[in-house]
Amino acid sequence: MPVVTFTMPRHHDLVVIGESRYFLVRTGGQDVFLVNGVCPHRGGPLHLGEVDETGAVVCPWHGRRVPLKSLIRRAIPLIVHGHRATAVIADAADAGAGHDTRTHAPLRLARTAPRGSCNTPQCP
Amino acid sequence: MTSQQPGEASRTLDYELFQSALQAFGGSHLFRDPEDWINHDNPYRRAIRPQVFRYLDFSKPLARAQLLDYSSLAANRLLLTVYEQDFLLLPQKDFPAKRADYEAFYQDPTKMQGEVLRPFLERYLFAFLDSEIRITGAWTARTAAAYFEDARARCLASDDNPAMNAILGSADREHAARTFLIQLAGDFLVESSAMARNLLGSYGPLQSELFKVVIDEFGYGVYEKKHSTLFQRILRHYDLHTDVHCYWQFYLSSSLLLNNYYNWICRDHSRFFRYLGAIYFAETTFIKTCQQMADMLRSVFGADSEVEYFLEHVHIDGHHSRMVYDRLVAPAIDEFGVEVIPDIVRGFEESKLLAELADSDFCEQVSWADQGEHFKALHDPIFQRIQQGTLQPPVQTFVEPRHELSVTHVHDGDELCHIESGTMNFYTGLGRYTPLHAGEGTVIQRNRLHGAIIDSDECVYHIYTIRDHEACLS
Repeated sequence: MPVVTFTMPRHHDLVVIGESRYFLVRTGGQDVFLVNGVCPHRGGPLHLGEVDETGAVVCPWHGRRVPLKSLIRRAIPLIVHGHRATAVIADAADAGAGHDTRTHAPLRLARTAPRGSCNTPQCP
Repeated sequence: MTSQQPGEASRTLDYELFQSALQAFGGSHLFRDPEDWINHDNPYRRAIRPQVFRYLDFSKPLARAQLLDYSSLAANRLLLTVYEQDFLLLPQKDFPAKRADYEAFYQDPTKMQGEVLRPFLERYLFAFLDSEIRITGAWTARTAAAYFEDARARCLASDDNPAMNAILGSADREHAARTFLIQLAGDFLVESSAMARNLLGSYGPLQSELFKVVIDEFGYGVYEKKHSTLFQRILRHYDLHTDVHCYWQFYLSSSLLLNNYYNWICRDHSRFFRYLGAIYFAETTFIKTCQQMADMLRSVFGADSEVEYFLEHVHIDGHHSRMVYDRLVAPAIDEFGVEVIPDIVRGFEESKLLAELADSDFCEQVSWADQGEHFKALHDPIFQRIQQGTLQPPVQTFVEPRHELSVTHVHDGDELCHIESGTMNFYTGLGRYTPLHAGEGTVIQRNRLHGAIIDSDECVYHIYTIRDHEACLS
């Protein structure tokens, strides 16, 4: 089970470990969570989604709504100390291949309901 | 008219209570400024500079960047004094002459005042840890095991020891090594007293497992094998006194903070799981660092130097590290649930952070002590600019008689000391000083421990608050 240390990205929130995508969610209480970035529907990039009024991340591919609360409940064990972060990856068999953080804008709150929502039910 | 938030009035009232207790506590004869650098076999006397209390504000917790400022040193000296009112400390000799101090230290009102001070000081010193270290996520026994296995491997793999490097690179290696031993003495001469706070109570097999670690530390009841006795032997070998807190004035803020941290998490039993992480860090990291300390002492003082204390820990902490993980950390998770994991991880990370801070502070102090002549030489160009009016820093003037001792302290910014008349011996460590005569002076670097003693019938000197000596020279 790999333990990965990385520098906290300041201007983006995607963390790629091996071939797995995660993203950082910062809450109002200043806590930071590292959550799964893969949409359970068809593997879309949740980190590119927007957060709707109900607190769900809307996947940009098919509009699947994934509640942030459920992502946070299953967040990756993470220690953040200053700019240094350590994560314990329990479910990434390929995580030993290294890690990377890539740039994109952080999650933002949607002003309008996302278009093109699919009809699949929300994640638990 | 301003409105008060709920609870604000009670907090204000509480702080007033704290201030009142602080003044009363500081009024005890135990805490008056001493006339010597060292404390002669009297564990109840503590130099805490009570005359400065009224200028300090302990109401808002320290930020990480302020941990080496004066208010931190003051709070740490106070808090360790309060914590150790729980420990039975007896002098090595001449008890009848110290009996009044003994009773004053343990009895009310000193004891009661200390109990009022303690929670405020704990919040003041340790609240920063909550924002400094964040632990989140859905931890499981498996992820915790992976984290601790990785952390242990990192501890054992690291050959880098900044404190040892600083000693070996010092211009006065023996002095630096003794300064290091003095930092350890604050904790090691009462070794395991903090952790023994967790021995009482009833908490199943974990209690017995912790007891096994403690009885090792206490030498199974054999005084000669007790770890603090082994450490006394170390001190004696290097011409240092062995009585508790003899070198109180030479503890750095960070050394006191680390000592206080273990008392804090052990005294407050709601932090027991945090303590498990902290002791796992301490026992694991000691395996490597004690070997490095033994190597350092042999390098500085010769191959036949006394190092048994450290070699004992290289050996026994291999067992203790494994015992703490296999019989305390892992069973605690099994028995009390995954919810305790973040606390255990937090204890590990916090003690690591504080140990790194202590290393860094110590290295800075070694460098500061090594550069006495350098900082003395910086006096002239800065004082010249003050005389010319180019610099106009705030100034205080002092007139002190022979043997007047300024208890060790630090400043929150750089200062310039200028001697108008007489002689001052400016101390940067035990027995290490720079004589300053009329017309001379020195830059006093921010956060660096120092003290002074007057070596003439009278000395008139000025302290200029220059804040940043490099800016003054640019």
